[in-house]
Amino acid sequence: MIIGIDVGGTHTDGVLLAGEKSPAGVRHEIIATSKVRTKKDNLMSSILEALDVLLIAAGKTEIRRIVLSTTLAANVIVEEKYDPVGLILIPGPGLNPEHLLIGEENLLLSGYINHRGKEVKGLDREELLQGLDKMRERDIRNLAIVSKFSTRNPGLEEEILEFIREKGYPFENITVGHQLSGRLSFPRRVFTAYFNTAIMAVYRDFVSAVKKALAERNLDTEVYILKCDGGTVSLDRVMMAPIETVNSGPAASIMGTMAMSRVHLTKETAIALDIGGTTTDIGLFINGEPVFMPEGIEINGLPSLIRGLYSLSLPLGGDSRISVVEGRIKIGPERDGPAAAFGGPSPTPTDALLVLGYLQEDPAYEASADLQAARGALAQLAGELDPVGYGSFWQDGEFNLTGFARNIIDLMLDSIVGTIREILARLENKPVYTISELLAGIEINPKVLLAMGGPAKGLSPLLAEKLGYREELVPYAKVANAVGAALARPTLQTTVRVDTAASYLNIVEAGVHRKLKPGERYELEDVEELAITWTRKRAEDEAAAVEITERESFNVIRGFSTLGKIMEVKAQIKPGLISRPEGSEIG
Amino acid sequence: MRKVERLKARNRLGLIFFPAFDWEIDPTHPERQERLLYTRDQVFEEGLLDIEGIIEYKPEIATAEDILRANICVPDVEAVCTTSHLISAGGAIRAAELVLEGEVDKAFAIVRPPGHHAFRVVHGARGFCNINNEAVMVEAIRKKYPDIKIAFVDTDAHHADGTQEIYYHDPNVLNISIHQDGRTLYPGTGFLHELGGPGAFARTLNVPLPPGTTDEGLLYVVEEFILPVLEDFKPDLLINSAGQDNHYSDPLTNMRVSAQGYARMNALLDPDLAILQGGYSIESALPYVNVGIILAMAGLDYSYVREPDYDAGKLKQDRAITEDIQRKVEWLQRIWEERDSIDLEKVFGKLDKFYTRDKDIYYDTDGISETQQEKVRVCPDCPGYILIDSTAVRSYSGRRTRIYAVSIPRLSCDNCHREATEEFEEMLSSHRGRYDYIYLQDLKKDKYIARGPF
Repeated sequence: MIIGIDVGGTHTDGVLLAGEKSPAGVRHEIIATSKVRTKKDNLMSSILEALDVLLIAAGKTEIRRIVLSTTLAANVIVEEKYDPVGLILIPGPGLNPEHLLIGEENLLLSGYINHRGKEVKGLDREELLQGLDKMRERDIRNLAIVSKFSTRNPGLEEEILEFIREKGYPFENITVGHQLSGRLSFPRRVFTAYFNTAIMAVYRDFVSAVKKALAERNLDTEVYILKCDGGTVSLDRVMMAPIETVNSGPAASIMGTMAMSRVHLTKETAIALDIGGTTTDIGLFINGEPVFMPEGIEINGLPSLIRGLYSLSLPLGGDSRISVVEGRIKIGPERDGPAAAFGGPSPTPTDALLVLGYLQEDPAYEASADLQAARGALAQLAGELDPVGYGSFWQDGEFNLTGFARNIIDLMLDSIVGTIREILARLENKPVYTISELLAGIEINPKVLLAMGGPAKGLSPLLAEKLGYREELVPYAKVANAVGAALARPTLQTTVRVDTAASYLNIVEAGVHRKLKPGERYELEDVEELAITWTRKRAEDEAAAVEITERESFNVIRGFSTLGKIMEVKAQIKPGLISRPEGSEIG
Repeated sequence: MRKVERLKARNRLGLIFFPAFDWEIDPTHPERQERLLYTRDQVFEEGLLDIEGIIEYKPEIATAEDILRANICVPDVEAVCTTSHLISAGGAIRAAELVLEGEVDKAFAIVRPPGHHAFRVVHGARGFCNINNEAVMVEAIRKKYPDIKIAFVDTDAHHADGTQEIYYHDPNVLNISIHQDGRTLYPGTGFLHELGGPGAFARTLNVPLPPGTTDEGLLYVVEEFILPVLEDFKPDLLINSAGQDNHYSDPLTNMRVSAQGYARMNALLDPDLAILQGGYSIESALPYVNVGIILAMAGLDYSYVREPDYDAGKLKQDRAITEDIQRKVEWLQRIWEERDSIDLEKVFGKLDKFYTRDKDIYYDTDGISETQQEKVRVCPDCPGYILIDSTAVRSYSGRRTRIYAVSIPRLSCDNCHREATEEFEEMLSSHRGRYDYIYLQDLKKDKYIARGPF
């Protein structure tokens, strides 16, 4: 059996899945769920509480896999619960590095690697020695070391690491920039390395606490952590780049939608909507696969190299407060409490849906909703409305509450539809750099609206109609995130760069940077092969489905002769499910 | 976390970056696929696209009609123009639209191939250019803003002869070119006395710089001559044709300008638009020069942008060069000051109905020799119209093509327009035997006609 646990801001949800082999693969059924309040200061206890409920339900059956989606990294960063981090930067010429100095201590060193990966200027060892001594004097234990173009040549970063070891400096947590990602962007590399170091100590404690808790329960199950790209990383490997697990909530939600719907089987292009109390989260699948954000995610307001699944959160949900501002209707962004129909203080879109009868067939609402309270709360707003814009709501002195409710829902629908259209337009307008790509154009034509969440039942048919999509309600919204975590598979990326003119080979994320051997020849196909092999090797999975995501090949020319080629290939194991759950009801 | 201020561009800058990684003249030609590869790498690694206020846009694809407004293509647009030219021109159009519509404060089109060596009549490629991007852009803008005053400052090391030729008689386009002295570099033109036709005197200004000119000389010209001229002319749109081959590492030229010099020059000029032209030191210069220009245009600190091998001591300007530049600037200053009082007949000879120029144009890229006679109608009320008789000979095949063309500017008066269209009809009916093709480029009516082969 498999366990997925999703630590959310208010609740921690767990789910226990039982697998059953079928001709099509493994089908999973939800056996049990658990829900506990999240204790912000002690995530471990919340996780264990949720876990123990599931373990009891599992009885003596073996647990094969536990996946955690946790807010640990995000909490540590936002609340700055970490020891000071020293930044060592080798920026070389370019942008003024002032805006990058976010370390509690910052050391700028001379030296430069150029865009071809050539070391133009070496380190000044005296400068390095003095800088490190100063860090030690100030009791800095954590370091992030980043040079410009270290993805092209990690030499300077490694030289510093070596120097630290040689001289026996007492630094405990160190991140070197080049291992975080194969992508270019010095500022993003600096910020990502800083945050990675910042969370290392707390994460190490967390990993050992998880291991200890499992030992106490006599479990030798593999534990994985969900990353924000929708993939998992094992507990043993997570310390290589713990920052990849920051903000995995949206990924859990999207992987959950994937697991609970048929989108990855039908391979359709779809918009996923998770309509909650305070927010509506929008995700996107193209041909059945989740889409990455074009750039890396933001961490604490700074851009990073960490890949995340595309997700946009609108401050608009079933419990958003409806108010009248300067005579006009305003929905959200605040939530005052539950809907008026459920004893809340303010009118909400859920109340409007109830008044319109859109949620009537939903047993969850029917039983306890106080329709009179919903009507009353909405009617209270009537007096504040601008008679110029909303005059049509009065007929013979009578306020047309239904029309007013419909107007509120229309406003909400328009806002969601507008945002969806913007997202698609932005992705379609993404710059491209070759003529063939420009001529081909990008067109994203979603066919399906995958909706989940409380108010989804009332809203999604209306939304689907406006958008011209087919509507599909996704069940089990409450545990979808935990299911998404439980069934996510590992992801990994590898960048291989061969420059036959400068004669070097670079497997960026693996830290390989070496001169080509005499007689060693490469064509683009060989580089692709290398990228695939190394991706499988790093994933420790010989059979993993690896895809090439980018390939480039350029001749290097001096005068009129070709000196060699620069080839760069990126390969990945993309996010996906180990299998999908089939089950009719929550056990 | 130490709080730092996130970078924010003082000017909202639109970047149209289109490196055309799948287009080349041929694999070892300077204008080849990876020309902007290292620039892209540097721009990405510096994180420039993450800076608030620097926004990347896709280029448009220019249409054949967009091209015809600027260039008379022989025999037709398809024959002289590949998709990559349409995108490069479309990139320039997009850049101008972004600025004119107020979406951004400034825009930089880092596109290839370049265009400033393409003349009005195009028989093939010269100086790596087929169609004139900038002229295509100007004519696209003028559809919407017919009276707009435009100034070009072309800072490519090669004389902007194509742009000069197309706007030689146009008083609404000020065309300033700073370049390496034509006696020492292709295309061998761009001397002080080339000052524009009788209807647009001193709207063409050339500053030929001696080989070996450094940042000092370049900035001297900008500060002492160009800025005051722009102050007087007051363009509605200022465009820097940003060639980058004045760089000390450029393999095709002999100048000694650095990335700092380029950035400083852009900060001084403060152009609305920059459009990439030449520049073939693709590894050692372009990445740094382009980063410098982007930062300068965005109003950000560019003082840390330096080539890794930069050595200020090695880039000192000879005194002889400094004096040569000072003399030229003085001469040009005097022309500019006296531009409205100069007796044009003393410059151009007796001005009858037509002013005639004979040109020999060599297409180095395609190996074509063209002889051309251009007659401009001298009209007191408008910029007149242009009659062109052009013969091109291909050096390999010896194939000879003769064309006749009538070009009517957008602001021609009704009388000139009538005269010009009559001339076209007359040529078509009575003299077609002499020509392979006859063209009408009627910007006033936005009508383009090609007839032939006869």
